[in-house]
Amino acid sequence: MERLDLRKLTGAHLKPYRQMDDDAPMPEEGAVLVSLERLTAESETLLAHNYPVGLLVPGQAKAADLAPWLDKVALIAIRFEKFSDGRGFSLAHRLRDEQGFGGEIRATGHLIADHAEFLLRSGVTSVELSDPLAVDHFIKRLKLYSLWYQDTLDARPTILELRHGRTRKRLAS
Amino acid sequence: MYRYDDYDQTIVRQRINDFRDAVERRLSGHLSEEEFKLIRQMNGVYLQLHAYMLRVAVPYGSLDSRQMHKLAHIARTYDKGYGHFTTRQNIQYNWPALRDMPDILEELAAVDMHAIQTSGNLIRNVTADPYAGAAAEELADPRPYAELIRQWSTLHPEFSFLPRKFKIAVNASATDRAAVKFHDIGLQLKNDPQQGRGFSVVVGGGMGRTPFVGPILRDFVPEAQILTYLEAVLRSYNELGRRDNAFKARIKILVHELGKEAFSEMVEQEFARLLPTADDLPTVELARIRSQFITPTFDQLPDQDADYEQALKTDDAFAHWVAVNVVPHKQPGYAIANISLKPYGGIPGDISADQMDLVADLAQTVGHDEIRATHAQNLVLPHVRKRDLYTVWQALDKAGLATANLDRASDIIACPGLDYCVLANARSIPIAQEISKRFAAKGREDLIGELKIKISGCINACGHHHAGHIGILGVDRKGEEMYQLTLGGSGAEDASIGQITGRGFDEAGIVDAVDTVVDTYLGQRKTDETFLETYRRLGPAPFKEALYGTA
Amino acid sequence: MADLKPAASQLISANALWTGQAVFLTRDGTWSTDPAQAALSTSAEDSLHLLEMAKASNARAEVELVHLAAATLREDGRPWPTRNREYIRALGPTVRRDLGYQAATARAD
Ligand code: HEM
Ligand code: SF4
Repeated sequence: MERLDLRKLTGAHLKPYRQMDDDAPMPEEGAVLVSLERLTAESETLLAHNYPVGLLVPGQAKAADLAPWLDKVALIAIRFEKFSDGRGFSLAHRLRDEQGFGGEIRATGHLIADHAEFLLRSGVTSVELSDPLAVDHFIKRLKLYSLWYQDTLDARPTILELRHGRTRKRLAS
Repeated sequence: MYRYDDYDQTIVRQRINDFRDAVERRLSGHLSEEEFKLIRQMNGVYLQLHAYMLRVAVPYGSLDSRQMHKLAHIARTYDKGYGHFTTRQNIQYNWPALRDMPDILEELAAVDMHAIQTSGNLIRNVTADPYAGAAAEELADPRPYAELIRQWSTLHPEFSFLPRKFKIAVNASATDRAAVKFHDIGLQLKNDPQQGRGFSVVVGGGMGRTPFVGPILRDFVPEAQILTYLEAVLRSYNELGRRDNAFKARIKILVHELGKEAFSEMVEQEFARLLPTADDLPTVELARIRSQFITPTFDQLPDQDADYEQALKTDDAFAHWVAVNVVPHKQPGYAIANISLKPYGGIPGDISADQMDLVADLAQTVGHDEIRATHAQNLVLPHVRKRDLYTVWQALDKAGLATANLDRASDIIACPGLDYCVLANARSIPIAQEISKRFAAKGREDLIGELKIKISGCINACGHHHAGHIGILGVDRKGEEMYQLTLGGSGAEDASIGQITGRGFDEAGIVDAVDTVVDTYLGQRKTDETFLETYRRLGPAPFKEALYGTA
Repeated sequence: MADLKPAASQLISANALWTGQAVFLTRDGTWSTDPAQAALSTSAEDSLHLLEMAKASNARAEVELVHLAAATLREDGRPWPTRNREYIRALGPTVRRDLGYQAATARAD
């Protein structure tokens, strides 16, 4: 598995996370991803470990259900079950905008390069990809787009801001 | 007309480069067929029976002569010399090769056009009243709102992989010429005495397998908050719309299954959450867009013109065309001229490259450089001086574009059907042609008056048959093309869904059946009653009896 | 359109990826724009075998929309599709005889 930071266009500094089945024993070391069910059931032992614990959720998870854990986990991984299923974009948006989550959001699963820019602008910070070629395709895409209309969650200026020489309210305050 | 600035241009150019890249990834095997299908569709490219099809967006149906000339050029250079105007104010080319697609898109970009989001599971091209800016009774020009929504929905990061396609229409007159109640979201402009200008918002209308006349989800949304409200609706839909069954994935099913109240509550909650941080930049932008849609500088003319009156008296064919195809304009001395793309026995919506050039020339010389596409697959010259109407008509007539049949029996909407479409069960175009010929031969269209016949080649209902006064649906019965008849639908402000009459008809039988229905109407109508009024007064019984007997 | 099950008397059709043209699989695994050149399957197994070749071609990104089409032998001993939809694909739109593959024959007539 390869990793890519969508803003820095490299993955070298990103930690690999091991996906743990709900009944798999925890490893001695290394970062892990667990489901919401497991985190809820075993939170005390899990969070007492001194390695990073991330939460792995499907795109249809409700942001509000994750709220109690957001300041306790190292990262949220959103799994895209199918490339055409866009629920993960709304989940990322809500985690940032509704829940105020400031940590890393990593997308995993069935991703294609055509998602790249959309993921970044929905609040996703990194992706996990199957092979180096896919990483190249992602980077190419991210370099391709320099402009967008929507007020989205990264701080880069929108066309409306550029056109009217103003900063959007959300960033100004 | 809206002109792109460098930002709009850049977006379109970047998208073309992106599409080039996606084609390369497909050719080198890095995109699967299924993945590439979705990506090409997001860029307007379908694969039909004989070839690819490119659907070019005509946002809110507005074109200028430069753009229309370009469409003609594309038809000649990359296609087979014609194009097809659709029920969503777009134009389709039926024969382009994939290898030419990026070049065609470059050609379009040169005249501020694109094919972005004319297909795929995302927010589609926004449609609007084709008489915008010209209609006598409109509250305001709906196109600035449509352009604002076009920008907001273009390459939207969160809403580009929705459960299913999403269609938005904007209407600003009491008369609904945009079929707002049959859209995923229909926006009807209105004035509120306290809150000023805003919209009543219809959500969850649609055709397809399960047609719905959309309910009003909110009676009033102030115009400054409209994008925020759309965001709330779209987010709720993206999260909750069904993804297990493509036929149940439209927002109409979600609204129906949850109930309007429950869905509305969710949207209201999200709307309330978003409002405090909502920006006023869209309102600033709306003012900028509006300044580009200033109505042309009309000549100050008396409403009557002597030469025009004279021509009406001396040329019956012209007078007839004016009576049927020309409607009042808000500016004295001007008129709105409808150009029928339904010649008797022709293919509804098809137009040759030469005809496109002619329409463009007319717009440029005597039409304040504006052309509109309508959802009935016709064109409009929205601003013509009455004194120029005779010249316009003569030129149209020479080019086979002066059929006087607006909203008449032969002004038929038909989808491409089995002659082109991969999903079709039966052909639609030949049925339209035969019905049109039948009514033309009988020469009684004027007697019949307003009659909207709509034909779809399968249950996807691209031909709006559910909303036809007379609707025809093609089905496949053991390899035979058969046609079901529905009566009493309407796509206008009095929207309703047509009822199936009974067993279907074969290709010849369906034409006779339509004839029978019309005869029944003529026999039963009261003075000045339209077909739809008669049907609504009498119900289906007399029509069924005429069709099937009383057995 | 419902997908057919493999059976005897079928041919394989698809659309060429690069041009979009309707094409038909020949016995040697190449594609022809003429259904009369297509391989007519002799059994369900034969159809499956042809389908495998076609899918390999799809995997090489040469064609899209690979599917089976019912067909029979014409009087001249050549295969020809029987169902409406495939018949129209083999010829072109019935409402524009000047377009599609039928255009060439129409001119020759
Ligand atoms: C030829 C290729 C075409 C294909 C493959 C196609 C496919 C479809 C499908 C699958 C639907 C049903 C969508 C749903 O209910 O979720 C649909 C609906 C529709 N299509 Fe098409 N279509 C085609 C051409 C056209 C054309 C030429 C027009 C205009 C003349 C058109 C206009 C529409 C409209 C207005 C609807 C109804 C939207 C609604 O359900 O609310 N389509 N189309
Ligand atoms: S109604 Fe059916 S046949 Fe007609 S264009 Fe739509 S999908 Fe094709």
